[in-house]
Amino acid sequence: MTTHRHHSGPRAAIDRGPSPYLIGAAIGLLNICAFAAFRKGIGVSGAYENAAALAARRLAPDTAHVNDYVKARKEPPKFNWESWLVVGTILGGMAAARMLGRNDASPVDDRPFTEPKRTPLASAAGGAMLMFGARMADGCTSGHALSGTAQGAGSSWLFTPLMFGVGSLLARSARSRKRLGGEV
Amino acid sequence: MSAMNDGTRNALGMAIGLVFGALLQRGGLADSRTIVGQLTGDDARVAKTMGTAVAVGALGHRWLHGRGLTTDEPKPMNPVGLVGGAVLFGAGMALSGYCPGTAAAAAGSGRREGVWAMAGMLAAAAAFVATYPRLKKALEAGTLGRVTLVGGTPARVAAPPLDVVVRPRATQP
Repeated sequence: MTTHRHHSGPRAAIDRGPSPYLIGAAIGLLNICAFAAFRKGIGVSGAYENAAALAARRLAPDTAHVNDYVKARKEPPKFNWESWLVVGTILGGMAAARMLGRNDASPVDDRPFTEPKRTPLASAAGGAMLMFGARMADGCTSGHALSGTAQGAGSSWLFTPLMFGVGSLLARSARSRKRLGGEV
Repeated sequence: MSAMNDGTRNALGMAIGLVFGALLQRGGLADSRTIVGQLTGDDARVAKTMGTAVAVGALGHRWLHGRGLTTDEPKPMNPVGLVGGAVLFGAGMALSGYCPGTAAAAAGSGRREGVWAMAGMLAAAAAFVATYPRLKKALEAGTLGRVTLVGGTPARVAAPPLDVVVRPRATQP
């Protein structure tokens, strides 16, 4: 659909979108709104757990041990403001893409040996791994890396560097393996 | 603010989500290649975006906190859950090129890989719900409770270093 951009000449001509510092500052301000309104920063992965627990309670309460789950969590799953935040995130991404165009302008596009589009299996398996990890750690890139670090939470300052470090090691080793294979 | 009813909270959560999703998409973070590019060191936008967001958020949080308008809610320091979770999370992020928020923005912006990632996430969340009662003990083994880096326990956190910077400027006018 937007492949023309990938072949659109010199790299300087690629529109990379707004400054990341501007986007970051705006996300920071948004998080301040959340701190003030909810006494809690933006968090995303908890809403996935709530949604899964609500679905499990309706569809298969016994096989999913939903009663034990609620007892262990000490509160029943709820579709709350955090759930609506995720709904909003989906719709916000949709609105921005519809009104302002898809943002495919990645500087890595015109480099050799870059990561291709993921296969559905890689996307789903990666998503599954990281969500289980996020719930083990009680937070993800938003709850820990954005909001927890901003509050100086020890747990978030342990989780965030470790998570990016592990991801970086694996992504780099995957790329060098690919590069070796590609040059043959 | 805390007296908000559920309807107001939900509407505000939705509004924050809308802006959040649009910002992620405009910042190129709804594209898995941007995130993988950060991990491989080819693209620094994730670090620039998140670094700025954390810095602005931290200043705002201190400011609000000094006025009693927000609280510290550090997630508990559970070494097992955090280290195990971070390893799984990093591996999954390298594989999918997403995290829970960016996948939602990606799915909304029409990227099929974002939809697949979200499907995997929901499946894993269900698996977590089913196994949590049995995992809880292990995840919380050796917990240190709610720890903040400045000032020890949340109750005592006044964050002197930042207060010194923020307070005089705020009291001048």
